[in-house]
Amino acid sequence: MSHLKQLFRVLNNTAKSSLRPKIGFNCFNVPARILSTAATAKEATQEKSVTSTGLRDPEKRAKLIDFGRYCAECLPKFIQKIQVTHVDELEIMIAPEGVVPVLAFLQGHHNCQFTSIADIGGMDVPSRAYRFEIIYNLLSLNFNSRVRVKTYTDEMTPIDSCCEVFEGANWYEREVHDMFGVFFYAHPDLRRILTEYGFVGHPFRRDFPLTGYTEYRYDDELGSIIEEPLELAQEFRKFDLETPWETFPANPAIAIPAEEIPLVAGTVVAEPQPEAKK
Amino acid sequence: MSGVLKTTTKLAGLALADKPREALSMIYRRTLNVLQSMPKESNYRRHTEKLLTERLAYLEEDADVTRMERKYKYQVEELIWHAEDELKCARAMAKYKVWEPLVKGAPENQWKWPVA
Repeated sequence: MSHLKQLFRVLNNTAKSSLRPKIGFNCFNVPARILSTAATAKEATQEKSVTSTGLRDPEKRAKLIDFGRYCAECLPKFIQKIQVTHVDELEIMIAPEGVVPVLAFLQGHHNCQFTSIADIGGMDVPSRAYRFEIIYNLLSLNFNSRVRVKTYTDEMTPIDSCCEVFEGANWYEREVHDMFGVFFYAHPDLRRILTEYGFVGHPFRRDFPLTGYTEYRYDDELGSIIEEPLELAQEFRKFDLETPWETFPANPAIAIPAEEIPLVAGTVVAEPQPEAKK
Repeated sequence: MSGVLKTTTKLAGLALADKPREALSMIYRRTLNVLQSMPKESNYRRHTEKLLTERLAYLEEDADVTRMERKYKYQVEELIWHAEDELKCARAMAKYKVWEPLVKGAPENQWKWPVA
């Protein structure tokens, strides 16, 4: 027992002594060399994390601007505007007549090789002359780079299908057709793709009601699902959804506008250096 | 071929080319022919002609395609593939006459964002 007590005492003493400030010895007095390497390593990792998200990498940005100008120079007939967003994404705005040639250029040309179509999206802005934007996202595996091509149309104007350039565009175009009611000219199989048979309307249009036009229910007597025009069971009522608690002052998110790259007709731009491979 | 015969490209769906040098130079020549039909001021023609004549000259300097592979860092089968894409692209460019001036400007505020 006495041995144990003694052991406890020793342990207690050591614990106390470690808590006591040690005069004359700074435990953080690490040789500067080690600290500096640690700090640079930390900085390096921070830098890397910033660039890996594509945020404001000046080198990449300069390359994208060069490439955008090169495209505009090669395709003066269709490119209306080039811009680079605040997260270093290149956007090429084209006239709707140029969908097929612009995508063919981006796919086939040696300095582009955007052989993969990642997505086709749509956007509805009813206040514009042409309310729909059609957005093509392309990926170049060879240059590890992406580009976004945008064009516009309205409900009545058909836009050229790019299925002859990218076979994978087939279903994406069907989706845009289904959601926005955009008509793709010369599409091999333009049917709805996501909504059910007999669906009325285009759900992603801004004027499509949140509730839809019809409702479904199971009818016991008929033993089947029936579809009826929508009938809200509740009278319209204005809900007060404001929280009773004090909130922060209104702080709307600020949309950072993209940087527009000026295009000067007739100028000659140096050929972009192909980016390093792999 | 440095004494060892290549048996595969190691890429799915890409078979070994039979006479790759001839195939590659033929496609380059065809593309250059298509480019001839475009006006000289066409920037697409200018850039692509420069690129392809350089490659063609480099290809024809030597009978060994591995030199080409080393320079452009792709297998010759992939180079053929890229060349075919360029040929398709050149044909589309000629068909759509891409060197002409802008076909139509965007309506006012079409590309303005944010809208308000």
